[in-house]
Amino acid sequence: MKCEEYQDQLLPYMDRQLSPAEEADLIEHLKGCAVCAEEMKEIKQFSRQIHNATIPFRQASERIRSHALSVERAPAPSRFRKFLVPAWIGAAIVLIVIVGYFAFPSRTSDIERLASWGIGRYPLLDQAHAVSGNAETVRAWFQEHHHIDVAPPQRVNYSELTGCKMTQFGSEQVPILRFNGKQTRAVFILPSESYGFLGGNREVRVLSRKGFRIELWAEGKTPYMALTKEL
Amino acid sequence: MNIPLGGAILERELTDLIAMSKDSSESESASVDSTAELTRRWRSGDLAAFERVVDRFSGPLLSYVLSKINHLQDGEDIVQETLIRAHRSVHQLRDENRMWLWLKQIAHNATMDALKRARRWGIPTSSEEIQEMELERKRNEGGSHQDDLNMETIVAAIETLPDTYRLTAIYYYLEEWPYAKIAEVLGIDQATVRQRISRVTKLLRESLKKVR
Repeated sequence: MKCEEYQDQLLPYMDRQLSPAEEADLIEHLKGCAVCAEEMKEIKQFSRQIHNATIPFRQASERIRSHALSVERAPAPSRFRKFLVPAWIGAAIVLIVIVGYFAFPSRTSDIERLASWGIGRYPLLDQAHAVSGNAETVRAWFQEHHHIDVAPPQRVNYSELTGCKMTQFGSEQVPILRFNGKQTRAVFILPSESYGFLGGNREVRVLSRKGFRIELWAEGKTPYMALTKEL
Repeated sequence: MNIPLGGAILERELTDLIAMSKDSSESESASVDSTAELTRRWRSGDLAAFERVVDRFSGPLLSYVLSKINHLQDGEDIVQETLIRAHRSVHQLRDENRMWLWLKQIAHNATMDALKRARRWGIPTSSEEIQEMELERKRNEGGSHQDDLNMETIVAAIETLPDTYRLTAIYYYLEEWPYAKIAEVLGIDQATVRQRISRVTKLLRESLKKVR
């Protein structure tokens, strides 16, 4: 066999893809051929460099896979349509309740109320920060476009707020319940069965199909908020 | 999907992104039948088929998108969104043998959306700004070894490979799949996989040598 043919076997050899006979033959050849031995070294080095440089790629593609497979369990659009009208009626009711809440404020503090909903952490400002890279800019943007500091609840474009694309519900509009400018707290209500991304593998989804149970949760570096109250 | 996470997005020529039609010869020609079958099953609501699509195309889509935007986090977002958009609209996939082109078109659209969103948030998209950021990043990293290959260069080299070799390169070098899995997915035998890997390696070494 020619050197060139042996060289074609080097990578399969490293990948343990050669038959025992081919392997023995190649090893024998490498002992006597400096050119092929040098080529072996170079291929090894090349493979190692590619392997090292592409580790993040494999990590990302793994995350994509596990994410897509979790989303696939979300209901298909056709099944979802039959919930659309009841869901909007439900949303309207929730909105009325919310407006009522703000029109006739109870004595319960926001914090107590949120706590009674099982909300632990809701660092919206962190999220806003992630959206623009500058918390002040985002707050100014909220003020300018939605006046959120002053008069909640409001409906804002969710994708503009979070960068989250609402792909299922047919509308990107979601009501914001409360945004306390000072303490930078906020609660979202998402339409049930909607979901979206907050970037990377930080995921925001609404899990429940029944009523308006809300579960917003995020994976990744920054946990945003968890809202598990059945409204 | 949230693009504005400080992510650098490199906007290439629009024409480059849109030039889908000339790729029509591309794909896993050898596994056309299985692709058609897979499409039919996927369309009929078979989730196992979707799983296979995800498994098979996550890597190629990520590689494609990264060759356009050059930012891993953003690329990951775009591919995730692509797969979900595809799953939601699989009934629109008419030509069963063109699944890859269809997915790529969705990825392209998602990329354009991401760029638009980035512009709205004032994220730098011009190449000068990106270059400046890249330089800054490299300075902060303290200068990596000059001979080391980086992922962007490798992905760029792989994306310029001829159609027949591109998927093999992605599965072997980026995904690090075993020969048997590559053979199964591409619908070819392992001996052919071996030949293709050998050829891919030669082509990549040549083009990466030029870069370095």
